[in-house]
Amino acid sequence: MSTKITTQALSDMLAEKAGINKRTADAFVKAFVQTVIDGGISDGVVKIKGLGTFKTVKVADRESTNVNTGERFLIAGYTKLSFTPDVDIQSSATTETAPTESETSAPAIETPAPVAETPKVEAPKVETPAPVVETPKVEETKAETPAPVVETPKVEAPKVETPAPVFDTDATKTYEKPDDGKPAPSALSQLYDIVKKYKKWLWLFAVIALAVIMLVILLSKNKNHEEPQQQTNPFTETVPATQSGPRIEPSAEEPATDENKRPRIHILQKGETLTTISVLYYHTPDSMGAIWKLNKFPDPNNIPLGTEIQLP
Amino acid sequence: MTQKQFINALAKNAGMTTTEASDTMDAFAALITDCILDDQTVMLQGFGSFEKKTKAERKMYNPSTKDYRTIPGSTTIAFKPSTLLKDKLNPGQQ
Repeated sequence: MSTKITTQALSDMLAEKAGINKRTADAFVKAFVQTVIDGGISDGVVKIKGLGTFKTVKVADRESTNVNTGERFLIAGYTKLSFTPDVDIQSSATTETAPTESETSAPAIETPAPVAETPKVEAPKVETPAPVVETPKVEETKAETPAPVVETPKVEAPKVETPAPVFDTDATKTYEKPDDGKPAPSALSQLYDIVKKYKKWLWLFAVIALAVIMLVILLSKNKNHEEPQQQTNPFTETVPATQSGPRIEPSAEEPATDENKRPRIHILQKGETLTTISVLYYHTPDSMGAIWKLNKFPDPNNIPLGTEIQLP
Repeated sequence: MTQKQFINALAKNAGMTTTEASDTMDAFAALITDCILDDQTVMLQGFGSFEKKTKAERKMYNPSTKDYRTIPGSTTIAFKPSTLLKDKLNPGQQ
């Protein structure tokens, strides 16, 4: 919290600093205030070296609205004294605060550096196992040494592209080397890494597979539905027995397969249309027009129940 | 009012010579500045108060270049006039 320095305290400090008595310092402070006010009123601008510029600014009348009543009213203009600090003071103020900012920002700058360094440290860590893998090989067979050197960049580069080569190279290498007794964990960890890498893709693949399975199931269901319809549609013994049995008493037992056996009249039942009748007797909906023509219905979509329909 | 006119008027009001007034004014300005920069508020009775004001760092958008730029924070001196001064500047207004 900032402490407040009163006029009295300031004049005391001034007396001490300027080497004058307190009474003179007090008079000076009062004279300063009076001079600035007088100068501001008379000239409008008072420039003080080492402190700043005082300016009297006139604020014009303006209209405002009373929020409660909604009435418009006038705010009278007034004169105010504005202060602009000297450029030297401004710069010294900023420079004085700058060290504190730099102190605070310094660690902030330093912190990213270690963060940036850590990946560098990690990188060699990753590389170090590779040489360790290679060294036993060098001990075993000297001729193979150039080969791993070529392989190591391959292992580093295709990390993102394909996990398969990583597997192959490591399988040959690590199974030779791990006489220490850790072949399985390395393979497992690599598998885990791959799963981790392609986790998103795996999810996507799973979703697509599920969708395909669902589609197949739906298609097969549709086929099953269609097949029974096709079985019922043909003008065999079952259809007339179940559907038209009660309706067409004379032809219930002998569905009209031949023209001689086909009934000449059909009594319209609930839920029947000319199309269904056409399908029932002629195996096709195309005969609907002929039935309509013969019976001369004004509206084929609105035929009263129990109507006797002549069949062509 | 220039610096010279101000010193002359100040010397007249304080009952000092111009040189004394100039020297004392320099000391007074330095004192006020030091106090403000030490996070102290300087209050002059019947005039107003000076205090340090810190402006925070902010981001500015330049619409022509469509670029964001950080304007660093700064410290400045703010002056708040007292009600007595306002009354003196605006006689007849409440």
